[in-house]
Amino acid sequence: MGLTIALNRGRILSEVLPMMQQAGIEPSEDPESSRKLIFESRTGGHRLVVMRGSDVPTYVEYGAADVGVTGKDTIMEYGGGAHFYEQLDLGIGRCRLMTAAPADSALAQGRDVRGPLRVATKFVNVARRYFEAEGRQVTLIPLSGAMEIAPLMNLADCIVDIVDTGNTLKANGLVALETIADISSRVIVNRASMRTRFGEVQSLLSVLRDAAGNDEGGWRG
Amino acid sequence: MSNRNWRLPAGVGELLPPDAWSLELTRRRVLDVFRAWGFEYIEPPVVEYLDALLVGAGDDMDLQTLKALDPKSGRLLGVRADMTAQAVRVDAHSRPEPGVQRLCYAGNVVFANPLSSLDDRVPLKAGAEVFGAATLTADAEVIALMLEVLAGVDVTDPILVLGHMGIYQHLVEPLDLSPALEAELFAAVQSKAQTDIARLLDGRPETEVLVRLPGLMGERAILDEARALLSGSGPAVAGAMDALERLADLVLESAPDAQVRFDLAELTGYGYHNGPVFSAYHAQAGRALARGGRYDGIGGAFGRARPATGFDVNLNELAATVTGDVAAVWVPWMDGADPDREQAIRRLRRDGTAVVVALSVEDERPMRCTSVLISRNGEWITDPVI
Repeated sequence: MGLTIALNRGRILSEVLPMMQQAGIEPSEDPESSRKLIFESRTGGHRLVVMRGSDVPTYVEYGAADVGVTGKDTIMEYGGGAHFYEQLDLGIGRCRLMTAAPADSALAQGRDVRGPLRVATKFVNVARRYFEAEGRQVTLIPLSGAMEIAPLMNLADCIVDIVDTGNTLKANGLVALETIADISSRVIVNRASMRTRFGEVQSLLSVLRDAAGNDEGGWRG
Repeated sequence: MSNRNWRLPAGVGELLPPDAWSLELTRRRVLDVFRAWGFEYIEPPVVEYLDALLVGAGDDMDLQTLKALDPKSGRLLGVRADMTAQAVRVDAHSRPEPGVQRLCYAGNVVFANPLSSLDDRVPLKAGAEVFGAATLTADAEVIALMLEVLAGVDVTDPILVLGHMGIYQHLVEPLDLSPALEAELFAAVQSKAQTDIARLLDGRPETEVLVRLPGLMGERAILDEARALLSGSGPAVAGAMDALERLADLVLESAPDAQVRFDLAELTGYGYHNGPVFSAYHAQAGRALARGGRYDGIGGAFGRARPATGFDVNLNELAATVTGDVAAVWVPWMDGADPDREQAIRRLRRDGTAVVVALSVEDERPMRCTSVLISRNGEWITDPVI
């Protein structure tokens, strides 16, 4: 039996699928046009499961999927570390996790905000850890999207969000402030699959590593 | 449905037939193996003073421990989230044997704040610890016992992963990192996130070695590669490597069929290990089935620092391979006494067969009763239900 591989739906998928193809894993239908969510690979008996990026770590942690591809932002929000192995940086989907505030706000102009900072974000765990490390008391406002609106409607003083080109921020009159982390897509591996399906996981990662042009060493044995 | 009194807290479950028997039979089988290996059984309390429970453990254990204020003493009580510190207390204080002490235990622990939402918050754990033996033979015995426990609950062909905390610890020590950076590095190495390791170390002298360390896993051949990579890392690292290899030899002497793998960056989540560490995996389980390692000197907090090594298992996870379906014999309702029949029932029960006797004429045979006690030619025998 092959591996079960959980993939992040959306933009990254079109970059990951050619990499998978180099590893001989080609879905029986095009996941980007099909309404199906589970695809058998044409060879090798692998299964590709397409889901929201934020769900990938859950499937991998519990071994429902052996391998997953998702953003570092998702992994950080999930808690990373002890849950699974995160061995390969695919170098795609690059962006930054940043704080941002309206260009005309006190924060953006280097003045401090009195009292706890109101932070709107969908990365509440990341934001909590970041501001704790900064020694800053904050009130977190969990939102599920379009964070840029929150400071404009005076719901928040700043946001924590993914910044790619910065165009969305700019269009809404926000400026990026501090970088919390550089983000890229990572391959994560279930801890037991790494042991019990070592050969299969290893050969997949080795091809993906070559495809990503990534030479971090590792993977022999 | 307006009555919600039936609700249980998140992550808290109850076991029903046949799963409850399956767990209890698992506990018995595991304890039988411990007893056969000469381990002495202890039953530490479920609740004790928090400071004692947190000895040697990191912040994680603190967050995992359910707390309550003791009105009698005014001190904080903790509900144990791990039983190792309790065994350490027994060895250091309650029963300070001068020589080697082998202890085992089984009991429920409680996770105040489970790391994962699917985790059982009140699992039944069992473990075995050896105190007072600094030699690798003690680690090897514990590992062999761990494998025997898995065999005892019908886990076939587990994969045994060996590592040594000393390799990472001796590599990182000379870097003199701030505690915050060290914690981040630990997490990055633990999750094998090589990109993050490189970023955190930012060109320090040991960067190359530490970035490659998490990739050093696999079968025995990996040790040669590791020696080449670690050749310039000092005698302490080389000593840990030697210990790892010798440990594998010792394990294979007592368990020749063990499928041994190595992982030079295996950092367990317990926070108190400081020597060889080991874990066992199976293809059917998404996580380690058993794990343990050496944690010398932790007992110092109780006034007696001793070498120590041990492991524990989550019995709820092991119970998956043990059937709790207990087939029983059905005795239909019969008016009046029959001494022969009564004796037949007694004999069956004494021999370990479950017998269910009808309590009234309306009482029907439960599905799990797969045979019936009948009288044939004046003799009471069990007859399978077709």
